[in-house]
Amino acid sequence: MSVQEDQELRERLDALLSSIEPRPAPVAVAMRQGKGIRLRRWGAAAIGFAFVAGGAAALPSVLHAPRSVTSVNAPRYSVAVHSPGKHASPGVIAYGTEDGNRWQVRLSGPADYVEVGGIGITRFVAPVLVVASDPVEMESASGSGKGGNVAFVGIVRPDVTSVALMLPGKKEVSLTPARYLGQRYVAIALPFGVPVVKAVAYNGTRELAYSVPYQGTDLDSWWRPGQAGPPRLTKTILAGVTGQRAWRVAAQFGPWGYCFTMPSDNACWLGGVPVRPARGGQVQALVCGGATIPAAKFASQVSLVVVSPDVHAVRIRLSGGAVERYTPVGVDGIHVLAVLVPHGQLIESSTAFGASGQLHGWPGSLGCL
Amino acid sequence: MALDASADAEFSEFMHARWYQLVRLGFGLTGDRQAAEDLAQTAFARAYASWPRVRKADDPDAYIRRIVVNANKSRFRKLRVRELLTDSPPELAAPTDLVGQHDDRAALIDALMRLSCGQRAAVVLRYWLGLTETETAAVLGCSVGNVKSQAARGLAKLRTNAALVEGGLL
Repeated sequence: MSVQEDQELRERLDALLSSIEPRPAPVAVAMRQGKGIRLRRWGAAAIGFAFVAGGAAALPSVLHAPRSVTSVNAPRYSVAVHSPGKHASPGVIAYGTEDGNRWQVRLSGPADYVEVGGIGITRFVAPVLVVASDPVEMESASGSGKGGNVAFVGIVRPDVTSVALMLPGKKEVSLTPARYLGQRYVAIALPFGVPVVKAVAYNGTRELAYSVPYQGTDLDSWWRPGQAGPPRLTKTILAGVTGQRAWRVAAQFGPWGYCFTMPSDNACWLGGVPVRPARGGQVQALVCGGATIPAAKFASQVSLVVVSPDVHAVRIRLSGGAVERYTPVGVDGIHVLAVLVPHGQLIESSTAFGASGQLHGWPGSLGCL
Repeated sequence: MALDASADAEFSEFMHARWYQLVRLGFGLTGDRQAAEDLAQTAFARAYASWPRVRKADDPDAYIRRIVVNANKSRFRKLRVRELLTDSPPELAAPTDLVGQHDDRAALIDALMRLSCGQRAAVVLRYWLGLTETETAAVLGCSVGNVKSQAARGLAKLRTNAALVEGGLL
């Protein structure tokens, strides 16, 4: 393509798409989410929201002896993982098979931007930071392999000598960290659809922490041995029917931490980050994000809001003129509500009401900018 | 836990200056404004989480564009996993900006969505955001040669798109 053609094409594309007018940059929301990511990395326990427990007995104790090679064979799937040998290529963290398909996880790139690739593995970006109370920062991605697999790569804290993954059928695999650019990583590929039931980080034979994924791949919250996490419960925060299809926003608390699910998918919003109760008179927006309401023509936004116990209702005025009243729902000592912001509209103002009337009102978007 | 005020101010300035371009990049990759804004917001949130590192990066723009491109890839991967692991499959977001109002734009976005992920990213970065081949390669994490071939294939495919040709768009 000539320079002139190049320029013409650019101008046409630009002209066609210049009418895209995004909402103003949601700086405050991005900062809040960024803090959430850091919270997740740095350990949720420091928030002071520990649910320490007498529930140790309810948690199956997993005795574990670290091994460098583990094989699992079950009627419906098989997994084998091996540590790289001394003569392995640089960057190789682990290799093995899933359902007989060979895979190898190999890292590349600089220490602050590590990419995952290898044999039978889809490319994705590895976590590069783990600190404080989380023993492992894990990322997963699916896509490659014969039947499609799910690859896990985690960076581990210096005191972690192995990570055990409990799999369906009471199977277990042990991952031994391997070094890459001064950091230590673990990796595995599982057959598509085989979830991780539980992950346990060890120092020798001593259990350091465990994590229970919400959906089999998201290891968001790590708990000390004997610590139970929040009690397991599901509660509807907001529900509706659109085009004869029911939908809901729900709190899904449990050993995976604090998740909220949206109408559009069953993913864990907030990534298990602890939710603190709001103090007297406070209304605190946690997060706002896109949520496709089933049967609705356009994607909406949902703002999750935590209010203090003295707030009995919140009135929302939308830019379209509608005024709606939301009642907080109590979930495990937290009072939370979900505000639905239809496509193309904004929250113009919000007013909190207590038992004896208006507590306070404020202009603002509750995070939905 | 929070960054200091000057770092926050610096991040705010960084985000304001790049928000529009990042949303446009996201739109080119997804064809959906809502999804584009979500991608851009996710990218900035990740950048904020690692701000001390990002601010020192040689090319923070390449860094954040790369997050958008990767987040778009993993968006589909994660959806796929969740569809298998849950009883209630997720609803995919409707391509809201394809509806109605801008036929030309809709035709172009439709054509872009027919390209492979790599071709689309190369075309959008190279010809829409106006990055050089080297800059595009840095964002995509591949060689300049790969950018050239992906972009060329993508353009060739766009040029065979009947709606674009008949509409005189390309």
